[in-house]
Amino acid sequence: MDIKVRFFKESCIVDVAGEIDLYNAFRLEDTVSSIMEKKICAFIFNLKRVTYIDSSGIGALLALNSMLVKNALAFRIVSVPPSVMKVMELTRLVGFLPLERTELEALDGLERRKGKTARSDSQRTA
Amino acid sequence: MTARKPGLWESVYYAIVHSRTLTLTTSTYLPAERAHIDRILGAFLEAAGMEQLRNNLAYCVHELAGNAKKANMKRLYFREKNLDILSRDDYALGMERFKTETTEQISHYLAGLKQNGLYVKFQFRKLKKGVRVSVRNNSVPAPAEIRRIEEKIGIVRQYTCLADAYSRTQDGLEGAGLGIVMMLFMLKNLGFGPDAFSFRAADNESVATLTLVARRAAETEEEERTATA
Repeated sequence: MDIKVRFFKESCIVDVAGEIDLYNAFRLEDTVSSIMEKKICAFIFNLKRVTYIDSSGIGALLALNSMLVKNALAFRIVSVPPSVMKVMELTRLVGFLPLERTELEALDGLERRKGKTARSDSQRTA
Repeated sequence: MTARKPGLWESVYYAIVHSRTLTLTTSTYLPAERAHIDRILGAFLEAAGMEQLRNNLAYCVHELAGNAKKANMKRLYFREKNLDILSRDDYALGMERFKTETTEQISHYLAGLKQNGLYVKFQFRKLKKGVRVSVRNNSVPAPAEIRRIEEKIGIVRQYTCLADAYSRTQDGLEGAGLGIVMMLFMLKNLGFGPDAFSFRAADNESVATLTLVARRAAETEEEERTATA
């Protein structure tokens, strides 16, 4: 498995490629933990180049979801390949995990959410 | 003249046509072997008229094989560290470093599986209306491991989906066992009954079996269609 990290504004985009399995899934959590202390508001996992995911990989995504929600950080999973999507559908994780079609849509959604929060904050202070 | 040994695909088709058990054995279960198992499973499912389930059922077989390989590797690791896998204290101690050390020295442990005769055996059999796939490995499960699998089966009976089970029993699902729960939910959602999966210890082996009968899946599909009509 290959992990590459990019930053866009306050979002961290994690590009994952190859196979996510029992022997490397823990690296996803390690990657997030090492970045969490930086000034980051959201993590976007791009799975476009993932060729295989086993239950350890799904487990890592579930654990990340819980961990980031607890820490009030946004989490999005984007560009899920059809084979991985099928696993998520059959285990009925679609709707539970924060899936978005593309990275752009995820970034756009996060920006809009941020704008909305800022507007409601300014309305409260007004 | 000596008789020619049949090729793999000849054996596959012979096993399908004559409803014989086809057995394949590996120690390492690497991605290339996984792809090979996929193709063989595909041939059996096609013969049973269940080819549309190939990717999903392949996922289940991979989970079982991954568990079998992990169980063998665990035995090898414990042996090397002079730890008793049946002792609660040794087990806890061994599991602390098992994943990290076996990942860091994967080549050593893969070679060790072969050298120590530790195997994962796949058995495919075409049934009258489906397919039976068994995944065997030569590590006898510890009573605690059997108990854990039974617990997972209980969880799947209790909850309707993985997300629900995960959010309510997070601690119990993390680490070992999530694969079994996922697989059971997948089987359930594909329309297979609770008897589609079984696990037992037999003659120094652990045996996980998927009995996939086409009728059940088809019936469920029909029921769903009728219910939504």
